[in-house]
Amino acid sequence: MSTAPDVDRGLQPQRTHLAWTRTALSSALLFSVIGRRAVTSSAWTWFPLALAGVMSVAFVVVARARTVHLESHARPAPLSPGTAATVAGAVLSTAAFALVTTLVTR
Amino acid sequence: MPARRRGGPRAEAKNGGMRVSTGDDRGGRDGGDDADELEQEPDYRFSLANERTFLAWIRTALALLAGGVALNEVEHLELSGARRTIAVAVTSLSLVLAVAAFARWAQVQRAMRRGQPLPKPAAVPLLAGGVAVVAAVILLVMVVG
Repeated sequence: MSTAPDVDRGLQPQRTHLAWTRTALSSALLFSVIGRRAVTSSAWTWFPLALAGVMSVAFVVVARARTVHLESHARPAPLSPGTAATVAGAVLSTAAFALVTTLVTR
Repeated sequence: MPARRRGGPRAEAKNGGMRVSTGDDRGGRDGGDDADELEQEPDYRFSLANERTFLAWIRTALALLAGGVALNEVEHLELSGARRTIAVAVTSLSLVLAVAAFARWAQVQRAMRRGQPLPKPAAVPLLAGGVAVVAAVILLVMVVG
């Protein structure tokens, strides 16, 4: 795909790429926080830790795919509902596991 | 970022399977059964702005979740289970925000496609109120404890 010469892409794709990067970094930070908790706590904490790890990797993959799309299309397609639902669902499930872990562990 | 225009030239984006109509934009705003037929993809810059806002909400949910987990390590909040209560509240708030982020993104995207006014952000007062309550409880526990 090539960029159409008559389109002023501006900084929109770059800003969106940076937003995805920040989100992936936030996910990695959450992974490290849960990891620290897992080291000092019971085995229950390993479930949200594993989930946060998968989520971090998934965020990096999605961010990379989205960045490639933004850079290679003059008029990028909007974020698909499936991707948005996956991102929100990953955070939701990690939060749910963390909530259960907080309630169960002493 | 250009100012938002209603009824302007919008059906420009490669839409990835989403329907693009050439119908009158006013028909899309009138709602009803015709709304689905007259949806148009907005300018891609607006879609990207909506995407960034969605990601900002997701990051907020991630930060609250990390805060909820980290609260379990704080030793200054030992007042009769206060630490666990606050951690549960903060984690629950992050859970709600993750759902609200997706709902908000979908609502805004739909409104832009139909040329309708953007819906009011319901999660903003929820977040502000939740954070204020949690902060007040933490302050109270630290002072009393």
